[in-house]
Amino acid sequence: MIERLTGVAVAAFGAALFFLITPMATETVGYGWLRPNTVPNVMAVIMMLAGVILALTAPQDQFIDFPKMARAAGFLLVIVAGLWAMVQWRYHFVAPGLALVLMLLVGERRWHWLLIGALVLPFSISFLIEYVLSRPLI
Amino acid sequence: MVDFSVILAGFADAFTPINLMFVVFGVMLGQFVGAMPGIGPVMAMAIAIPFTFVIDPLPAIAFLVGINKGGLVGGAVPAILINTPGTPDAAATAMDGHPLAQQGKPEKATKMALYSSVTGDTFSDIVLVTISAPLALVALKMGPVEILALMVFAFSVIAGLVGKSISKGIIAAALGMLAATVGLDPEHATPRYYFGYFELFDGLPLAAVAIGMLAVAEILRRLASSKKGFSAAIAQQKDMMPEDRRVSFAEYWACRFTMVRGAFIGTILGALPGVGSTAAAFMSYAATKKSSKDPESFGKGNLQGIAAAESANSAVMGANLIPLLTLGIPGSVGAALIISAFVIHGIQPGPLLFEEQGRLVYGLFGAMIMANFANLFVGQLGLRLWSFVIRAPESVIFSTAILLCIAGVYLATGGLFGVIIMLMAAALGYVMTSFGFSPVIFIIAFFLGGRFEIALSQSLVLLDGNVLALINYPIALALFAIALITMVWMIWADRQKEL
Repeated sequence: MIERLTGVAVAAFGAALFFLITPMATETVGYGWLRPNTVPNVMAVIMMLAGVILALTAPQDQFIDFPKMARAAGFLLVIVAGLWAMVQWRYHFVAPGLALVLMLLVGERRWHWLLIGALVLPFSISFLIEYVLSRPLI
Repeated sequence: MVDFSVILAGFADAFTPINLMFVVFGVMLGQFVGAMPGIGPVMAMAIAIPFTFVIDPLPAIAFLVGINKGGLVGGAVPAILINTPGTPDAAATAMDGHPLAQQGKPEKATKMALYSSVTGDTFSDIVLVTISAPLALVALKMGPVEILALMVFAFSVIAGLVGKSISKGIIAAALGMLAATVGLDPEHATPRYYFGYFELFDGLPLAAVAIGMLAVAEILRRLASSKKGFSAAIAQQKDMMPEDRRVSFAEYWACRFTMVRGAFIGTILGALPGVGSTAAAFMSYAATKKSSKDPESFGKGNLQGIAAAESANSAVMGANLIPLLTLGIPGSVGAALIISAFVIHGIQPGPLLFEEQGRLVYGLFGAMIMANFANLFVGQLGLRLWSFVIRAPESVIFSTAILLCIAGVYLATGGLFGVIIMLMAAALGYVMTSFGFSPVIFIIAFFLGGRFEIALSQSLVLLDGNVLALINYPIALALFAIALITMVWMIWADRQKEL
């Protein structure tokens, strides 16, 4: 069932690209062999066709671990929040905190590993980039 | 043809102490990360690429090649010791390596893996050095129409072979091509899909997309599936008898035909874009078992089984660079990452590379051969050591890897925008993998997409929009026909598999 739904979703995305997104996001040009929208439109049509074929033929069903996917999305949100904090307060102040939060979230409680992961390694990275390579960080 | 003095100069560049240092460091890092289940050389290469920006092209690329080669050897360590391949390539190695380790001979098994890996790798490097320059000469005679046909052929092979389903392979390739159309179009220079972000005029940065889809997506997957109370992935080895710790010359020599066959299979499959080293390892293992007088001994700790798998999966690495260096087509995800290192240094892979950067190419060849020796020596000392040292929990490894990815992409793309693209690519890569779409096809199509559009545009101008004029381009016509046959065969094989 999931395979069929995936096929339908891909076909719908292809249709949205062809009828809505591409006309809006490309310019109309009246000359030349390959217009700006030619390749995007061909890709949209391919996605529509392949999506329909996937939905109709529906091979072995794919198991999707949705709770795990939600967990991964949560980790991604933590990283995005960390990136936002880096923009506000700089990489070398936020990186140890981000590493600590990630380690705590996955259940690490051993203080020596927390120390290494949240202090030694982030400061080593900052030192390597800003002092050894002389490159500016966020 | 490349001047002999250029070849000599290239090899001389390769053997400088600084280059040697980067090769050895790359091999050490590669063996180390290859031995850590879940990290692997591809992720290590992806993370390392932005940092190579500050060093010269040759040591930078030699360093990445060292990681890749070292990773193939390192991947065998957890496969043999705990039946958990560090890299997918080593899955076939576990079939005989782990039973041998269970018999109390883990060092014998890891050493056999090392020797056969270096043998297979050296064989494919020799093939690469010998045939890539003549192949590039042939490629130089090809015009836009032939290059377009070649790309269509490459797409047909890649889409069919990497994924489980041909439809999903095509969808992943179409998505990659679509992502490549972001930015200015090649014929009219009008912006596409930029949604008000002028940073997108240059297109999506390859380093950000590759690191996001391959490294960050995998880290998210590992973080999401982690359980409390991590322990080290590698078990400590027990004491063993001296003869069980080494591979004698007689034992190595007895595997010579197996290794040659494995190297041959790996080289052939490696030269085809998209086939991959895992397929080569299993094919070589199956061929060796089939031709053996004692097939029942396979899966019970037969040294021939380890030799077959390792010689084949390592031979793929050198051969992967044949389409990359001669045609600019990456044959694997590792090769795609090496391409992004070339691009970061302002070098365009393809047939002109031998003319414009001949010295660099032969320097790279020298570095590859040196990396094989480094693999042998580092492996002799390191294989046992890695199993002791790599006891850091995944929580530390992955949180540090995320920090490295953020810092690395910030450096490579020169701003925060690249890091945001990386995180978006990671989300897309995670979803694609979860639903069975290959991010590897996406990346390869993304890389080839821009060139494909340029070749298509030039071809249409040359043909004046008349498809029938293709009759004047017999090589292109033959390549289109082969692509069509390949596609039909792939669909037929896919249908057979489903029935």
